[in-house]
Amino acid sequence: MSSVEMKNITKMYDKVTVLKDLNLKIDDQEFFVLLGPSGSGKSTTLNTMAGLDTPTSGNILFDSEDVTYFDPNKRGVAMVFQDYALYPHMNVYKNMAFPLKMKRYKNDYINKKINEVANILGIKELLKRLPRELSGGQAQRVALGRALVRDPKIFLLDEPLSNLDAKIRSQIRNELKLIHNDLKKTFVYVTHDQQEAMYLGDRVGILNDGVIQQVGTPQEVYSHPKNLFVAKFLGEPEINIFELDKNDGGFKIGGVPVDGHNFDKLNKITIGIRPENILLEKKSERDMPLKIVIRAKEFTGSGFIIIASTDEGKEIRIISDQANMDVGDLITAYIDYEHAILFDEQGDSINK
Amino acid sequence: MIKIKLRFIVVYLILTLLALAFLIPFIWLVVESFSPLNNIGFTIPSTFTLAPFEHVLTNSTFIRSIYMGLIQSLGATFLSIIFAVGPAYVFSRKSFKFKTTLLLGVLLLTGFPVFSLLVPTFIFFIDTGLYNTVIGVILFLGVLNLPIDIWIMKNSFDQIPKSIERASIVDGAGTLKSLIYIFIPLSLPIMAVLIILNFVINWGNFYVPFILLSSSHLLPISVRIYSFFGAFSVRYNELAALSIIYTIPAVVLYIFAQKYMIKALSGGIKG
Repeated sequence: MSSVEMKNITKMYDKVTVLKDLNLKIDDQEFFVLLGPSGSGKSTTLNTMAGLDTPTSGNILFDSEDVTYFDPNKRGVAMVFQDYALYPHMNVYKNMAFPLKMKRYKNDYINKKINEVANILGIKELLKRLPRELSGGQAQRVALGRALVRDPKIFLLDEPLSNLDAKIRSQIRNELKLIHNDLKKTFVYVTHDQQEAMYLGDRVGILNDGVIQQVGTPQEVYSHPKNLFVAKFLGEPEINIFELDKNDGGFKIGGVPVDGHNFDKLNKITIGIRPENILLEKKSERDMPLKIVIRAKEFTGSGFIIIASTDEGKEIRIISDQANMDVGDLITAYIDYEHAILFDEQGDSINK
Repeated sequence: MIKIKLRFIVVYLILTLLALAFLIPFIWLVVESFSPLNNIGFTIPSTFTLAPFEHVLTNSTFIRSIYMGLIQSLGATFLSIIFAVGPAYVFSRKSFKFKTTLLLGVLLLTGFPVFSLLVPTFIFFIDTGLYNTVIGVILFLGVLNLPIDIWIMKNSFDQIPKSIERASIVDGAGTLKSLIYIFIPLSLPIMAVLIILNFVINWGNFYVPFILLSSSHLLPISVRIYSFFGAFSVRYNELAALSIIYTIPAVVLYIFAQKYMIKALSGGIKG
């Protein structure tokens, strides 16, 4: 049982501000993912939760108890690191026993607990091995095991899958999700991989330059990004962006007007449209036509990614399950107005 | 082909001569230590005998000097290793004001001619009653090696990944436990090397015990060997025997710590 609340957290190293007045509320039993590019402050956020870093100002509450200046070992958190951080001179068993030994548990209990966790993670036959004799996937399982034996209130995971190859990564990702479902504990997971974030997170918090950009369910942040940064950071291939200047008192693409509330006050808007929301056939009168030339076609297994350029030379990407056209064809595609996301000059999203 | 072969021969000839230059004193030492007293100089003795060793090893003065040498060298070695761990950890992991200045100060001390401090130390030791005591020698020898020990151990600690330290802290180890369970075990290879280096330096140190001790029953073997060059004649065979005994602890330590030495000198700690 543990919720996490970060109140007005600011963290500075010397004169560099890494976190700027960060506010975050993570619910009990939630799988919360902190997503951001490298240098955005997501690991610092995690370290302040763990107690490895102290914020310059602000408070951290666990279950409304202020733990800002608590030592890491008093916080009841377990942490998993990107480089596994197994103790190289101890075998797997001793690695997993370490946190329990520090808490002076009896050997019987330690033994029972390790066997239990080793069974869940399928690492029973590895218990006598040294970390250097493990593959990346095995090492990360052991690191996970070392966190699990402790029965912590909160799990903190710092890019735990980044060093693994694709197949093992998706496998452990699945296991992680199942473990979370079984344990019903609070997980805070840091990653720069947006797909991982959307797959794992009950909610995702997107961080940039030490500022939380948006917090929401994966669907929310993907479909209703609060600003251009979030829109661009999520989704693969990247969202298509069209910048429009005011023309004849309105905004138009291909002769079709784009409107919304208070648009007359704006001089410039930006339209974001996800690759899967560019249609090859018109759906409604408000859909905006684009004359495009097909440049390339990529088969993805379930469909195609079409790379095309508009007559202004802008490169766009379309996801489609049909591809009855060839490279070099000139066709008309339509921006699905219903799914188009509009941004003002500052890059904040605006209502249609 | 011939050119290459010629070069090969010349190189090996030079190397062999060099090796001989280094080996001859050792061979002479070994031969001399098994010779009777009348055999002086670099000649093949008429008979081989164990008498020099027997004489040295039954002489309680010499035995005592070996014992004193061991106590003083080992004592000073452990003193400096134990006192190096803390500063090395702090220098490696904590940030504080004037850290770089202090660290450079330590580095400067590693090359400082500490023997120049022997005279003030001598007077200080007389005033404080440390003069002519084993503890006094251990303290001075220990401090002598402390800067280089701190420096080397700090570099060894630097190689331990930060995430491992962080993991141990989150796992519930405080600074001290993290030091005992993580840092020191991971630095064992370096520590083994340091123990050998310190021991060999202390064991071979002549000046410090020579100046800080006066009672002959406290003199370590390094000083005792010197006493062979007495007023009347030099017993070269016994001198040689004691010299060989003198080299044994260092050689034994090297053999025991070989595994760690190789590890320490060929890559250190791997995560």
